[in-house]
Amino acid sequence: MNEPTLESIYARHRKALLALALSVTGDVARAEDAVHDAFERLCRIGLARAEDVTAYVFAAVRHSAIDQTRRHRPGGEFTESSCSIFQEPACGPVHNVLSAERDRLLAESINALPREMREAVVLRAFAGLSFAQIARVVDAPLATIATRYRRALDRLRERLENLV
Amino acid sequence: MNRDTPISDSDENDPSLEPGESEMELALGRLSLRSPSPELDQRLAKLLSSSRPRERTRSVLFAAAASVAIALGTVPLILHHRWNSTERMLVQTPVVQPAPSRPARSPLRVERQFARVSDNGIVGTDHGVPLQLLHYIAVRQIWYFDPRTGKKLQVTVPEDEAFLVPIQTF
Repeated sequence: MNEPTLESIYARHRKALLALALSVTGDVARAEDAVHDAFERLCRIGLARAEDVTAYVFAAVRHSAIDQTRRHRPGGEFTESSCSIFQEPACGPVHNVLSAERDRLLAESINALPREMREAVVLRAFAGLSFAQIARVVDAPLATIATRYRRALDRLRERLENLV
Repeated sequence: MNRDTPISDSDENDPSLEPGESEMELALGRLSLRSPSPELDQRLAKLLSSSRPRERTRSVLFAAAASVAIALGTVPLILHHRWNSTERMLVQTPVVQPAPSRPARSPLRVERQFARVSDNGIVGTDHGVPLQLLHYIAVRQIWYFDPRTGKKLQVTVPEDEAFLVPIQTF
């Protein structure tokens, strides 16, 4: 099986990569700069050292996003995402209004999650990474990642149940 | 570029989810993540396309470096091999020289002689017969060689004799 390349990884995960960076920076421009900087660095050093290329690329983007945030808020703490990681909902037919509203609430709930939980949701539910891969990306134990993800899903479910 | 194909991830190590959690995942699947801006796509497309020749160049350079390394590693081995071969040849030189076909087993004796005769003229008479004096001077050189022991011996023998020769008169 061929190893994924940077091009194929970007083509496959471009939205999730931006969402991960956005989860950290909370700012679209900085998130895009973080993705660009990460790929520029990866082009320079190559993927030879990567055991899991996909996880390696996601980790590079995350680190780049953290660097971006530190550069613009030196010494400051990470704040929760102030910018949605989701597309603006498009106006649809009337029978989809309820569903659209539910999706809007869900998106807001994800944006409101703590950064670590939001990262787990983005990487698991949208990037499709395994818990082991997510553990490599965020450099945390696998059990911690699974717990974060489950807690995030519980919070989202509770919030939706309260709102609907 | 292909746009965000869904991924089916089946990691055997992943803990299984509760039914409620799976429903939540399905709900999440309906959401659409924000797309990167066309500018970012263009910047990355340019970056990735420019990195391809760099990767090729890196591969070529790596191949060249590998060749040089192999050559550098091989040349000393070849030289060492040749040097050893030369040394062996030098050592073996006496061996490959043809041995004497018929070695002499008995002692050798070589002799040479330098001699001359000088005429000293009439030096007297004997009962009225003139006597001519001839002087014979010689040097004999004799070499002895024993091939079994390799020992040599050189002997020089001088000779000096005088002869009185009566001369016939008419």
